[in-house]
Amino acid sequence: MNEVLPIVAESVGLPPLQDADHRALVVDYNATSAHYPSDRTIIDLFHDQVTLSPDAEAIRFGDAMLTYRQLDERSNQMAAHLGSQGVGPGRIIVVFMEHSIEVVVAILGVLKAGAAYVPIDAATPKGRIATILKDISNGTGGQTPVAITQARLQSAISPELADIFVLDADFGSILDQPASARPSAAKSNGVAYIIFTSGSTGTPKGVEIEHRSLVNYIWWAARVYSSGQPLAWPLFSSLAFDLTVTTLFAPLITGGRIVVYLGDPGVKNMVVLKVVDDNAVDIMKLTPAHLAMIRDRNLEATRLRKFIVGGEDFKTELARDITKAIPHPVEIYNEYGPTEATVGCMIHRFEVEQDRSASVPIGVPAANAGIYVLSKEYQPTGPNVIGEMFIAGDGLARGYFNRPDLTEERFRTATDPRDGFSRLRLYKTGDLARWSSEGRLEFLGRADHQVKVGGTRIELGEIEARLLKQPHVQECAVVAIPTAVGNAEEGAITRLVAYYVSSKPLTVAELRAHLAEELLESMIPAHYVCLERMPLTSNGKIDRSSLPEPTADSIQPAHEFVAPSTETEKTLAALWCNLLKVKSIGRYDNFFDLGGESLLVVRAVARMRKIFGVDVQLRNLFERPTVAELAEVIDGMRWVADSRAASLSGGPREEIEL
Amino acid sequence: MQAQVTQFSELLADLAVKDIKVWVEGDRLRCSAPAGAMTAELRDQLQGRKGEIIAFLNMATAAATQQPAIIPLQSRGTRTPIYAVPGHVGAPFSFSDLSKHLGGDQPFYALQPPGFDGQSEPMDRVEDIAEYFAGQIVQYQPVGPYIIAGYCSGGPTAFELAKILKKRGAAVPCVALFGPLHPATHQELLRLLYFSAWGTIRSVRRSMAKLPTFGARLRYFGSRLRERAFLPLVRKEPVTTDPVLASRALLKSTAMAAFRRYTPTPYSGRVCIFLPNKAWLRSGAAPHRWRLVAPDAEFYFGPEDCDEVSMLEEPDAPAVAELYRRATQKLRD
Repeated sequence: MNEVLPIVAESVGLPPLQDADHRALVVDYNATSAHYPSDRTIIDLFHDQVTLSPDAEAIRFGDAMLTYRQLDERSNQMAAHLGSQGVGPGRIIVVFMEHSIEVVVAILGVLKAGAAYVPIDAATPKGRIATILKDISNGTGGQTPVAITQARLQSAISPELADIFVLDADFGSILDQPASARPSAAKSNGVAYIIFTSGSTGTPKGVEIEHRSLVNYIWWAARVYSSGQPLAWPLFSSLAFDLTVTTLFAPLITGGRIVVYLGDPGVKNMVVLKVVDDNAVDIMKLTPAHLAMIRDRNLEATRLRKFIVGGEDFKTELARDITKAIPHPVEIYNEYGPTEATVGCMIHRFEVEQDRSASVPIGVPAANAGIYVLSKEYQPTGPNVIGEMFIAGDGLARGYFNRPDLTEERFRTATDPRDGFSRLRLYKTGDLARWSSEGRLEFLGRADHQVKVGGTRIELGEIEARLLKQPHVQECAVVAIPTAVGNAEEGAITRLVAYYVSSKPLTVAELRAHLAEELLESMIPAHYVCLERMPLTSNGKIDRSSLPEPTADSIQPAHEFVAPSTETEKTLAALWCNLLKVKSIGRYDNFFDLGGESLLVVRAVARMRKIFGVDVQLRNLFERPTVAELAEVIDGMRWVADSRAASLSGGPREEIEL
Repeated sequence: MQAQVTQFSELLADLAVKDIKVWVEGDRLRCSAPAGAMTAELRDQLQGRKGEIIAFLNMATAAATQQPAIIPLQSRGTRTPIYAVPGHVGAPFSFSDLSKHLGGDQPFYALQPPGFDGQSEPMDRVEDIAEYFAGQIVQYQPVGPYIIAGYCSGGPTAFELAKILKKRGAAVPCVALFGPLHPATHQELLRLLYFSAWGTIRSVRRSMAKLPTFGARLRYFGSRLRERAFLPLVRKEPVTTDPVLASRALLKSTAMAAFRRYTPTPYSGRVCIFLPNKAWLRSGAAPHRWRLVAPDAEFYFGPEDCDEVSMLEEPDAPAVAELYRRATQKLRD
């Protein structure tokens, strides 16, 4: 059975990475080693700034403000209070507060006490808060966590789950504490913060970031974004979103100022407009969706001169529009990075003349970061081959809090792709990417956005990436929606639905033609829904779960809808509607584009035979898949059959040639 | 265009109501009508649209007399057309991904076995199925060359089909068998048990390799063992009243019976055997036995991680298409 057979061809595998590509894409690309104070903590760096500019304004909220010295003293008091409650290194403190000066005091106080802070957004539902508190308790040997909150939020935390400290109500107890500096208990290898992000199982997972990783990022960010200038930064985005870490710490180690903004309840995303209209900041870190919201604002007199954009795909057109809307020169940065790699690990500065492709590139690795696109076997992939993005370097999180299994799954030690023999710790991002022929890294969305449609495995991110290259598509999301059909064996038809926001009306034909240039037919969405704006999460990312159900009214017809006209077309369209669970089908709609496959094809043919009384074959459907085309065949078959049948009227007949 | 079609359909309806029959004889359009029904006005109208009516009737006649077995997945292109026999379920769609990856210049026809349409009877001999396909192919494309392909248990039918066509003088430059099962797999009980176990182990190992931790692998393995423990030794097909599912089940069992009783005999033409990967040689599918009847059979292997069960689908279809292109390079025009 195991005899050796002649092998004519070699195995077909991924094309190996050529030496020149390996040097360029793996070695040179990741030569990012840079000095930073790796033995110090973020508190040490803040303290340096307090010494340098004690009387400069550090934070402002409306008319209230604190200088660096005051902020330092207030946070010393906070740390002393926490210390008196037994909080020290190794403890985890939940910070459940609205945007305020106090929240920054609380965070600095927690860090000075040597503990780690867990930011929870003020809009977080009670159930999720309880899950996080229980997780912290389980992960710290059953110890009840301390939660710092405000009087109006207090009721959201169950007193059985946390020792609650109400900062505004209990402020007096802090003021009794000494304001003088005590040696910070924070250590460079201690955990600075834990940010809980959504888990695929529905349970949030906490990402533990050490001071050393935080210092590495903030040290780099301060140099790139502030360039030695003290800038005013708006604190408006959710503290539970790691994008906000930049806004929180970069100003405090560069002599800048935090300007606090509080969103109005129910219209949280509008706070970004408040920031712009207030015109009190120089730099802003935000998502592309938030940036899109300010595009139409009057920005002629704005003092904003720098934007750091992150979190989602960033369209060049948006960057261009912002550049045009502001009369003075602006710097726009695209920053990429998962929470697990400490905020940002890739950067690209937008250049209006050079960046011509649809999306702003995600650029090159940040200081001390390594970015690799690897195959399933952890081998670097060559140009035009999709792989998964892995991150290495000093920004990598310690792991997931109380989740050794998940940490082991996502943080792997593998052979260093640069030299092929030493070992390297890598974070498996779950993001797909590929190198273009020009050596540019293309981001293709999440690997877990892989779905199976009509038996074919499809990366939704690849479709989104292509759709975003359409010059007028500003934002988009592609989702796979299953519709139950027939019986259990057939299960459901999964149809791809593309949601998009565009700067001008686009027809489905235009969108399909654009997609078809690069994608397989099976990857082209069946339905297109044009939205005025994408629904956003509190973090300013596209909220996929809030995308509207596609309805007959919202779905853009694939062609200009032409209703079935003949009797056969009407009957056929009704039959397909019933079979494919679609509300309406036009003359030019294609059976296969609507999700017809496998057993459904056989069912369709069987029903057509029964209803029309002619021998419709599978082949007819393949050759003439639209309602109009197939109805014509059916009419023809019926006509031929009738012509051969005996005449109905018994009287005399005449036969002529026409 | 819409208005024209509507009018034409109204014209046909009008003729039907008046019991007027129209048919084509060569390039002539003839008509039979009850005495007095054919008015001068109607006659003028029909004569004015004579070309349109002839085209419509020719299309209809062609549709009504076509070869039902020929499913054109891709009917354009200049390369030698491929006629492909699907596996035992007979689904022509199983070649869709491969056809797409072979490109727009490669005509590709899937062959629909008798019984798949739910109205004809399935055949229980490979030789009969092959004979039926040969007739359909020659009616559709009277002159070769033809490339004959087969997938999985459709491999033996493709092999037999190529022999029949060749015996009748048709040019068959290549028989392309994709992951073919040799009938011996199902004729020898021990081999069948080995083949089933091998497939299960490969599938379990592949699934386990994707799991991150030893613990997760152990849990998965345990769950598979439990599943297996509760499976009856002989799996019975569920009884169904759904005619489509019932005809599908009948087709499947008849096709397997045909496969089991078939014994391949020598063939002198070129045979290319595409296996999902080198490990498939040890699968029990007995690919080497094809060399007993086709001594010069060439073997081509897909990538190591190619999934045996879905070698013609994404994501393996591009690699298999590339193998096919390499194998047939010399056949290219």
